[in-house]
Amino acid sequence: MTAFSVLAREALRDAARRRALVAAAVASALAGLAIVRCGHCEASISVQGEALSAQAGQVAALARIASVALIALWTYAVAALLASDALAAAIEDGVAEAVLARPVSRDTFVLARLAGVWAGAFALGAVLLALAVGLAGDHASLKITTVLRAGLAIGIVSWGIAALAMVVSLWLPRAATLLLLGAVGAAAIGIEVTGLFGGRPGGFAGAVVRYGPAWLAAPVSTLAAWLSDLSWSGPPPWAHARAIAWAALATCALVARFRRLELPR
Amino acid sequence: MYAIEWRAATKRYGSRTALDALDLAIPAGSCWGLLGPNGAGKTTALRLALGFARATAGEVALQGHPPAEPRARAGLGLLPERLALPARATPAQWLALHVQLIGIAPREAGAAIDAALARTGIADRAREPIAGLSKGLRQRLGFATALLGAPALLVLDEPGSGLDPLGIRDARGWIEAERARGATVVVCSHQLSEVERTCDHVAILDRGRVVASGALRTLVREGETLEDLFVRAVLG
Repeated sequence: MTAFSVLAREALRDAARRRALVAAAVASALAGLAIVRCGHCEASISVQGEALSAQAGQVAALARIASVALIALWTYAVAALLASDALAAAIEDGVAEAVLARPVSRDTFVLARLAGVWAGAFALGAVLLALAVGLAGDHASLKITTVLRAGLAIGIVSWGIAALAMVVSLWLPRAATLLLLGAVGAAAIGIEVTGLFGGRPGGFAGAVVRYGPAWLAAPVSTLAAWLSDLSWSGPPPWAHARAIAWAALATCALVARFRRLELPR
Repeated sequence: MYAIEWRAATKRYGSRTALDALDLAIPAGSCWGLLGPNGAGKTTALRLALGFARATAGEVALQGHPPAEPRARAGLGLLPERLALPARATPAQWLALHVQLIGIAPREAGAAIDAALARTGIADRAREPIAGLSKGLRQRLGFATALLGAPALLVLDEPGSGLDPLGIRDARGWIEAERARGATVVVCSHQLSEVERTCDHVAILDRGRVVASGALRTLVREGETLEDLFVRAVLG
């Protein structure tokens, strides 16, 4: 077994021991129960007694997209929660020094730490996504490739967010890290929603829509088949490429910062 | 072949110079005591050697390689001064992680862990969270971690910290056993009597510089103790 896999599993176990992963799993289970309950809901739209199939189709498409978006946001939140503590705490409690006294490179240590907590967050998100898909009313319109692509996009973005949380946690305490990421995330996603609904913001907001990390646009853009049911403009182009680029950028920033970090801090 | 070599190694923190062009080489197979008053630069020198910090100027080599390279730390056992262990893990879990990082075969891992726990006297607490262990037991766990896998180089920063007299006697025995095995041992300590009993060489640092270094038998004059040498070297 390689040092990377040993350390990644240790990072996951460490998150479980700190109870952050357990708390996230319990909250995810509650979210899953909510999905199960909603999965049994049925709705129809009718005007003066006449069913409107077109509008119903739009509502169903919107509901599916909203479900995927919410699962994505949940996965990002769990990734940030776990990552904000995973590296900083390992440095504080001496794990980093003890491990780096072994023949392990700093890059291996930090990337394994990132991979471990990301795997925990992504596994929870994947379970919720599978649950939502399994309970969807009309399986005929759901393609497994669409779901897998959405899951992949969520995975890429959550990796980038976890890396970002780890970088920030090297400067700020955990609460401040989460507050900062929450504020930045809310602003970025708010701007992206505007873009998804056809808004063409200018200035900084426009730059976020065109060149930003596509935290919401990346998973939503995989749902092109459902988007055709709606009369909106659809997500901006290159959403996946931007998500990959930002995740890579955050990972590089994390590795570069950790290479130069003096231990203990 | 030197186990650790500092060549004009300098470390500055802002305007403060922690290590001032340190020149020191520790040959493989020897046992060195790294001594000095508080703030002399002992721990800084070790941090540079282990790759935890970078020298502002000069060079450091660990087992013939730059400390940042993983191969430099192959066969290294470290007991840090600030022994902070993951509170929620158990000693067995902690050692299991290190056994894997050292590369001990899975079929031999259990025996290696059991042997380390038994040798350091914490086998009966192996499944309890580290948070529940006393300072002395944590120090014993630190020793167990450092001694895993028969290291070629053992770096012990304040090894007697938190240990009771029996623990100190045990620690002395572990160090002597490692020396007898042929390992290089570097002890950084304020307990001069222990250093005098376990080490054959010393380097005394003061204000980031070496003020005395060499074999104990040549440095310590007849009728002197290591404490006398220390006072003479530091106070002049």
